[in-house]
Amino acid sequence: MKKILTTLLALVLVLGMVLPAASLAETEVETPVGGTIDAEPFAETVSITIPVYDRSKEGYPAVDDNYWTQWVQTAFGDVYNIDVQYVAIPRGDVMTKYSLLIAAGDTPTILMEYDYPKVAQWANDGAMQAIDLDAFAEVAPTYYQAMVDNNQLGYSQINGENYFVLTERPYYNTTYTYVDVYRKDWLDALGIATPTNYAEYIAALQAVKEAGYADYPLGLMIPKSAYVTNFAFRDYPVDEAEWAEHSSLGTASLSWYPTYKLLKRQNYEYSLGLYSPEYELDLAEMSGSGGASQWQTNFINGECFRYGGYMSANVAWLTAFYENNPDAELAIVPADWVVEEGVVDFPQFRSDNPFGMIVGFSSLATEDQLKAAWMYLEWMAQPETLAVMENGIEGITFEYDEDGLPVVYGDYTGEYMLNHNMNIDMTCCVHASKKVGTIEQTIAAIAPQGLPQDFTQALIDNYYSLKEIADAGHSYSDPVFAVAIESESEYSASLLSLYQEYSVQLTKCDPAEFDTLYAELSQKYLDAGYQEIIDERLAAYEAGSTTKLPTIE
Amino acid sequence: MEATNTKKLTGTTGMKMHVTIGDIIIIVIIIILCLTCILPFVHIAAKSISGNSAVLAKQVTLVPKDITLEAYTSIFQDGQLTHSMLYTVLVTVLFTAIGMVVTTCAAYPLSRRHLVGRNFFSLMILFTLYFSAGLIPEYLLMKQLNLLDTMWVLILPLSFSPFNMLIMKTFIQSTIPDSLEEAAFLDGATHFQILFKIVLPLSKAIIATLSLFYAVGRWNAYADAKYYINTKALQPIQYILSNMVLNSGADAISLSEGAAVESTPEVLQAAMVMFATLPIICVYPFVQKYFVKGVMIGAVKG
Repeated sequence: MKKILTTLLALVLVLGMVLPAASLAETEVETPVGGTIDAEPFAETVSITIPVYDRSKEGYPAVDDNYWTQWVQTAFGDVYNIDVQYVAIPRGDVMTKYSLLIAAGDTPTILMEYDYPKVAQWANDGAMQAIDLDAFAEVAPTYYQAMVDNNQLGYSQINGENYFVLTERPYYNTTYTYVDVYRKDWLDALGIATPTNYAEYIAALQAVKEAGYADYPLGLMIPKSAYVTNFAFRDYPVDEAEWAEHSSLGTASLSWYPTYKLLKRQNYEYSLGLYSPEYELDLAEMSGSGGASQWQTNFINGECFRYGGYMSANVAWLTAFYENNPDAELAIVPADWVVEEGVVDFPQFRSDNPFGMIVGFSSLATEDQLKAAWMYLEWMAQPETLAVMENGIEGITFEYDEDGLPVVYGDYTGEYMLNHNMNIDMTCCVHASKKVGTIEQTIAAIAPQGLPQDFTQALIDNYYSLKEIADAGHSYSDPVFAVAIESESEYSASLLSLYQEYSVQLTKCDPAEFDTLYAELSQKYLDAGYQEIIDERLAAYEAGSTTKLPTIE
Repeated sequence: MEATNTKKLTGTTGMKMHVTIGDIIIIVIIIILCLTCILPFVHIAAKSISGNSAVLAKQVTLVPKDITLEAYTSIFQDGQLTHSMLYTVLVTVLFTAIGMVVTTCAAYPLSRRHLVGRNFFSLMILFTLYFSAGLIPEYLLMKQLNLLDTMWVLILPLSFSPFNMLIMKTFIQSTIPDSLEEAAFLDGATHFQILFKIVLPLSKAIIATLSLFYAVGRWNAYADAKYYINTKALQPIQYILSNMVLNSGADAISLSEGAAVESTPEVLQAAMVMFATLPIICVYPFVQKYFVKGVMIGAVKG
């Protein structure tokens, strides 16, 4: 019996090792051809290391060693005598991994991140070297020209020197990938027309509650990040100095008047019984456990009026929602539901940064390595290279549709499989998302599939309504600082905890006591470090070390 | 005596069972303690074979709903995960074997009374139990030793555990009398012969127990992989699992990337937890019979 068990176990282990290898043995295909750049190969091999996000998602090949990393070596590295190595950076723990690599003297040749404070910190800590943008433009003319075209040169400096090159973010000033949806079928059943302002919206919510559709029609959670969605409550045009002081993803702006207005409205909605009195106990998404929030669960179970999220071909919570509510009808929440005369005169929202990845270069890189890294960026920016990296091999990983646009096979899992989101973690050093023809075609690619309702047209309409707001100048982002804000590094974590606590207190307090409590907590918040942060930001703004608000045309 | 006890407990002879309030309290506490371990496991197991929509709707507690094995199929079809599992088994086996060799090599001599400097060496080893240099010096040491980003960095640094060595030393001291060793000496046995032919055969219980300690410790550890390993192919399964769960809190990431970041479905996370836990659980039954005895003797008689 023992022998049989041992033999079986050995067989399983051997098969486990052999079968995956066997399944990879596909028919050989011709190696795709990438772009070419105007550069001479190095006389001696130059090694560069490129970071690549490791999302540890099942079903994808290893991010640092797969067909496409090998293809880069063949199509680019071997041609220019450059050894391209990839280093995996855990997506959920970027700063730790970079810190370790930097401490060990193994800094990747390229350092890149989506968040400006992170790259600013690396530059300040001496992990990055200052670069000569003219020299960069000579080696990487396509890349540099894209920066000029996207008006990004103003973001390349920190402490008066050029450190960064910026990648493109298509359609950055509309947040069309994120939408809130609501139960249109409930309003239809109650004979209520789609609300057009805040008062109508609240009346509709009260009707939903009274009709017994939902005990608490709205959902709320403790803020998970310092991002306060107070853009709609700001004056227009916002005072630029105030904007520099308070508008940030780094620290919540409790003591700023738009946050006061936002919390006051939240308090009012709470007093109407629109939120669960236990909402602050919903810690699911805060613990990083990956579990669904109670708000999401309530929406899926048909017990909540609205919910929101980023759109993609497969949105798990929408799929689950329709499985539980097959006859339900959803619609996208229009932007004007926030409008209330004297409080919010028209909708405003935060646009994305006008760049994707912010790319810098290791202070340990030699002159040749620096040039090789620039050549890598230039080669990756060639349309022919991007076409191969983002679509793969025709007939195996994608096909062209009737409009001549490449459609990637979602179910292909063989040797030539593209990594997460069409190799975005390799092409992110050029742009933040794949460009697919027109905006309509781009939206069609991210519209949720396989649902009883097709959201494509609604998402396109939503995009144009957001674009209208953006075109009127009512969409802008946060300032970017060209100097490090030291007090922010010191206090931001403790201030987030305070904001979580205070925002709950202010939401749940008696509306009559709101103003007194706000004044008291706001002062405590300022004393706990926020005052130091806004003083330092203001000083940086007055010294000309920040970006400016976009000019209103 | 034993037979009488059994009868009393089973009550087959008609004797009245004597259950006191104290017994009931103890039993209730033990049941609660057992449930705190078992229920989360059953919950995860139920989730791992349920439909994702049912899990998102929080309709699964202990009984699976919309039963499907899709998550397990995905895991077994993922070359990276199966590779990582086999690799982790290899690392754990090597780690346990090396750990037991070095522990035995330290514990046996230190258990002998006539070893010169025995107390000094014991103290030196004991010192490392309470004081360590900290993460950064250790990281730099690994770098100097060229161990970074190799399989051996997961095996060598932790393969000697002073705590396990002390347990083994105490066990040998308390169970194997000096006279046995002296008799073997008189018969002409060398130190190695005494170790292999007398001490180790008499120490099966502690060897099994400590092997389990080493194996479980290595199997569950992932922090060192986080610091020392860069290459995906060298990452143990627990580290991949930790990344998978960490990356699932995707809202902040979505905000900075401005796009949907699909997190690993909860069902798949649950299946992955089961996948990573079951192999080490399978080891327990084989060492169970030695386990209690080994720990008790090593701990109590010292």
